[in-house]
Amino acid sequence: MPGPSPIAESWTRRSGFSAYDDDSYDDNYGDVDAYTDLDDGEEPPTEHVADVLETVSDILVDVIGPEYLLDLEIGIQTRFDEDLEIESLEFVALAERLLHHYGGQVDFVAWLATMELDEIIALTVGDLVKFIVVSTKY
Amino acid sequence: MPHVDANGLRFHVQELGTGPLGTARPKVVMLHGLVADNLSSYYYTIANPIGLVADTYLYDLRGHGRSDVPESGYTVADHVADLEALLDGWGIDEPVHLVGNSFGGVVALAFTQRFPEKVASLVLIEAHFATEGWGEHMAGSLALAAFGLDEDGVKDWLAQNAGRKLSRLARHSERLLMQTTLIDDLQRERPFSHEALAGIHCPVLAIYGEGSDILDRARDLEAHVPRCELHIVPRCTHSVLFEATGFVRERTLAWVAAG
Repeated sequence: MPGPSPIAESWTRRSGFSAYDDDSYDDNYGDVDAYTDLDDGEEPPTEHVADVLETVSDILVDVIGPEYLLDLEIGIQTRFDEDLEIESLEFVALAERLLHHYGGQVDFVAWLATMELDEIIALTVGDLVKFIVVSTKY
Repeated sequence: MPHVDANGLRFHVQELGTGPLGTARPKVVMLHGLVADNLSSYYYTIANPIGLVADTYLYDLRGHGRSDVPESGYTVADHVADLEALLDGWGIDEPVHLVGNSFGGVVALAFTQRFPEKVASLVLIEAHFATEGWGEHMAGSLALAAFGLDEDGVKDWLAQNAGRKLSRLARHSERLLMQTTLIDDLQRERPFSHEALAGIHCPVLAIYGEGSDILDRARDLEAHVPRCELHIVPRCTHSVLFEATGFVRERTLAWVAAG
């Protein structure tokens, strides 16, 4: 199992919200339970995490094209660059679509502004889901 | 994808960090480089941080990214006309800060020469403006980049061996280089004279890499543009935007914030 990306670590520090403490972490939809592991006892409803993951996955399929994702199930450990080979403009389109979906409560500009180029490239779907879950106050 | 129709073409655009109604924030427009480049080079580097303090506008130049790819019309003047029309399309009627990387810096410089009243300041990152022989040099470089892209064997190899991203980039580059007048148009560009540089009166922040192959442009800007602040970044090349992103971001942020 690859370790958490730099962004995952950063958001864990800032939100007290970790998906990576659980040794059973894997790459399936079932992992959403891992997102309920909060240090302060506040837990986002599992359904909300699953909803966000489903929304992100649906938009990704639309942006990248289903023909390129035939053999790949999108999970929280899926890496945008290495697994999805997402083009830079497709990532821009994904952020644009999510902004329209969630509105002003999800501030992608502020989030991306905190990252260096290599951190954006290393992002996982889980990093993005976690950011949205925290932003939308679960 | 969001777009603006301007100068007879459809441009893919991104507007970042537009502030609440009634707030006065600086306006920044960013112009990217040629062929393999598009607005994402800013989106991944300095655009979002600058979007926190300024209304920031990105667009794919004609023939690039998700913008239209016309068969002809790739002179610097065509790109200047695009930018003028885009500013109208965005409803911007105040002077803007233009940030140009490589060829984007050429367009920003030429736009400022043509419409000085529309420009608050320039940030030129490795601006690759024309000097004597520039057209031939650019045409030669682009022809070399295009070499073989249109051959069936190369296409087959890319289809079988390259990833989705590389294959699409190769196809897009082939179309731009082989099926448009880009190379011919750039070959005919006239040099940007020292007198023209002396006529740029807005403040100019110029950033070049110490190992850049166009460091002579940095020296020309410093010598001839009246209000030029030049930074040469150690251990960097023409790709200074990516090699020293933090430096470029911090300098540009401070520059825009200072107005």
